[in-house]
Amino acid sequence: MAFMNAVTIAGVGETEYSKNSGRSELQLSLEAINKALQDAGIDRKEVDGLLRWSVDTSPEATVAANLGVEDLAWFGEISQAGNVGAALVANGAAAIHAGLASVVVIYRGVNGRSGRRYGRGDVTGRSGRGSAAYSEPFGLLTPQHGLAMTARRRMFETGVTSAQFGMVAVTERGHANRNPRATFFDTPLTLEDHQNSRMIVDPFHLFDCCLETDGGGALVLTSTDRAKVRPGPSAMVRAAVQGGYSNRGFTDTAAVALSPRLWNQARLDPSEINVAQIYDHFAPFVVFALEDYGFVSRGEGGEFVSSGEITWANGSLPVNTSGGHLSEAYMQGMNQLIESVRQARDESTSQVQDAQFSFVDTGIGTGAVILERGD
Amino acid sequence: MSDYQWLRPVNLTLPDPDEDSFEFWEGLKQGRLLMQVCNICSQMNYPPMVMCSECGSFNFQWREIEGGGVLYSYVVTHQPIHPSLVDYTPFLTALIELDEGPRITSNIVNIQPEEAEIGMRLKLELFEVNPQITLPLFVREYVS
Repeated sequence: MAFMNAVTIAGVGETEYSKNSGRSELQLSLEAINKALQDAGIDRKEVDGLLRWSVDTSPEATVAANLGVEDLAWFGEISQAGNVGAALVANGAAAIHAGLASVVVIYRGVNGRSGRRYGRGDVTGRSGRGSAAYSEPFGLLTPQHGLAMTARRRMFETGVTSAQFGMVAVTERGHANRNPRATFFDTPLTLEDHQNSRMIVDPFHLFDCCLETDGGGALVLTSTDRAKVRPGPSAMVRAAVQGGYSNRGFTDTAAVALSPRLWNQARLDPSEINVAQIYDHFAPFVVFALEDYGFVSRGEGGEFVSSGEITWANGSLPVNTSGGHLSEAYMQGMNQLIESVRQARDESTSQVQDAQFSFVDTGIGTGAVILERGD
Repeated sequence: MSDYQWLRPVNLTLPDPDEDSFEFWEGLKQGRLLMQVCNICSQMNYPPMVMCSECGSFNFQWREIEGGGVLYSYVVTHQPIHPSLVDYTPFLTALIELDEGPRITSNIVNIQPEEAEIGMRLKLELFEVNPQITLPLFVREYVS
């Protein structure tokens, strides 16, 4: 029995989201961390754990020095790409649960639009070395190229359509239109807009693709006992798992392998989840995740989305209630983790009533967290 | 070497062979598409592996294959999101399921991107980029 609510995400913090922050990634990280610690009611000198995305640029020791940390007991990065947020939560919660650290901060600060841009292969390109020798020379140069290849084949196998992917984008935009922090707060989106938008990497239209964002975000994890000083509902870690590699079929996301571990650890069934944040680097993958985590059967995700089931407030499983990566900000899971905490704490701009169990996937099978509302 | 009017983007990444992949690229230079086959359990790997995931051996041989297969999936880059594709869009990248089983990422040099269709029959077409690198590309196979 892993965490089962012994650890709580006691604080969240984020900067504004923009196309040009005008400050360093380190500063964005520190601003977000300060806000998260204030939210948690914990002094920054008490932080003894720091975890981050390996692709980010702000080292733990530098952050620790700026925070005035007295004794850094647990730190590290998880590699791969942007998709490791939930895995970091699992790692941090494990450290607290094992008694190796007491206050773990997970942070990031990225100039993802004005600086290094994921979408152009700036971060992930490998210049034809290693396994990239068999993909990059033929034009698979960025994360979205490989994902588009998977999406095309899965469309062929399950019959899911571009218009159904478009309804993911339209639904999330509706949620963003209720969220003043969202990049697309002021701009509506119709299915016609989606279908008429230009192709980026076919089958991905422009509005299937996530934003590129400058910003920072942070989470503070501590024991649930210690977190009780904060008034109001809390976001307890019911379950957290890491994943990311599995030798399943070409069109199966890693969620197929990870999902049984998640539900077993949580002692829950997908039907018990009230609200979900799902990694939407590209809209089709929300459909695939709904299927591969078992919220619906394979091949049923498109219809589930089109019939309004992921739409706030009347859908049975509202998804990406802050607007997600498509319409709020592309903080690669961080903004979705923050939104999942808001849902547990009754603070979302598209709040799901009585959201006892809040699900978040930060990379279609690279990790998932289920938060339970505490009193 | 190729008879087709296919223009490879001049700045598109080239493979950077290392000690684990040297023989594969050397085979292509000599006009042969080589697949790595485990000497213990006969599993065929593409891309080549260092250790056989099926039986754990490090004992491989290289087997030449003909290079026939079908289109398994494909993407078409319209927005030149990577600088090397500027002036070369729309650009088709194909995933081909070889008759022997493995799937190989490549390009199809005798069709337009809009002609791509999952299941279409393809065959190997070697494409010499320079004296060091020959790429395994493909052509649509028209049944006469």
